[in-house]
Amino acid sequence: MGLFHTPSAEDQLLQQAIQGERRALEHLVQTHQAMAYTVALRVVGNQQDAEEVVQDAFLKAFGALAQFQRAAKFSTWLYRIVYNTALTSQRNRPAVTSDLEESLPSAGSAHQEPSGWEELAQADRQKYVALALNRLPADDALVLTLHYLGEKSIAEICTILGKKTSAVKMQLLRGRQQVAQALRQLLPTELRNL
Amino acid sequence: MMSKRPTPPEEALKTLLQEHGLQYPSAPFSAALTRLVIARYSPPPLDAYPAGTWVGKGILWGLAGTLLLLLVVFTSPTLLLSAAGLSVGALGVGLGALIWLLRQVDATQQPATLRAENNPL
Repeated sequence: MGLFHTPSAEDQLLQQAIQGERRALEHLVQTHQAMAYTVALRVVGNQQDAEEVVQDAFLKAFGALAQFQRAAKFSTWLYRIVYNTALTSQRNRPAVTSDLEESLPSAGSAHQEPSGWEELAQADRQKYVALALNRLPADDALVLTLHYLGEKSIAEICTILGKKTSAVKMQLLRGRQQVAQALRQLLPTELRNL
Repeated sequence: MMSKRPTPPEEALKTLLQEHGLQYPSAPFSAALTRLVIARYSPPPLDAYPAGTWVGKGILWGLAGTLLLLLVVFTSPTLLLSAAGLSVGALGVGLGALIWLLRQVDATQQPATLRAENNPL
C-alpha cells in the first residue's frame, strides 16, 4: 500500500456531493435508489412505506455525508442506513399485511415496455423471481438480495445487517437452496441446470 | 468434439436474480427524491440573485448608518466630547510611540564607532 493514495472515483464523487454539486448528488441518488428501494421493500413489505424509508434514508445519509469515515463503501453505509430506517419504520407502525405480492412487477409495469412475446416472457420471469424471493423468510431474501443484486460480500452484509458471519453464511446457503427450489418449480426451462 | 460446459448453478441463479430481482420505485417518486436531495443539499450559486444581494447589502449598510447616527444624536455632549478626547489622546500616544520606536531603530542601526562616547579621539 502506498503512502500517498490517489482518491478513487467514489471519493471524488463523495467530495463533490459534500460540496453540494448537483450532478454528484443526482448521480448518487440515481445509482443507489433502486437497490435501496429493494432493501427497504424486503423489510417493510409495501411500496408506500418502502419509498418513505428510502427518502428518509437518503436525507439522513446526505445530511451525515461529511461525517462518513469511508471505512466501508458508500453503498454499504447507505444500505445500512436504509436497513435501520426500515426496521425503525416497521417497529413504529401497526402490523399491516404485506402487500409484496401486489408490488410484484407486472407485464405492464413502468420498467417493462412489452412490445412483443419476448418482453412479456421477460416480465413474467421477473414476476416469478420476485415470487420465489417472497416465498423465503424476509431475512433470507434480504441476504440473497444484498449478495446477488447488491454484489455485497459476506463481510459487507454483516456490516449492513449487524449480524455475525456464521449467521449470514447460513442464511445465504439456506436462501440459495430455497430460491433455487422455488425457481425450479416456477421457471423450469430457465433453471434446468440448477 | 467439444462438449458445452454447463453453467454453474450459482451463476445461473445470480444471473437470473440480477436480471429480474431488482425492484424500482415509481418514476414520480424517483424524480421527487432527486429534486428534494438537490434542493436540500445543493446550495444555489452565489450570483443566482445579484439584485437581491445588492438590496440586502444596502439594507444592512442603511441600518448600520442609522444606528450610528442615533447613537451620536442621543448621546450626551459630555460623553461624546470625552470619547472624542480619548480618541485624539489615543491617537497622539500612538503616534508618539511610533516616532519613538522609529528613532530607536535609527539609533541602533548607526555604526558604533561613529558615536561620540565610543570615539577615543
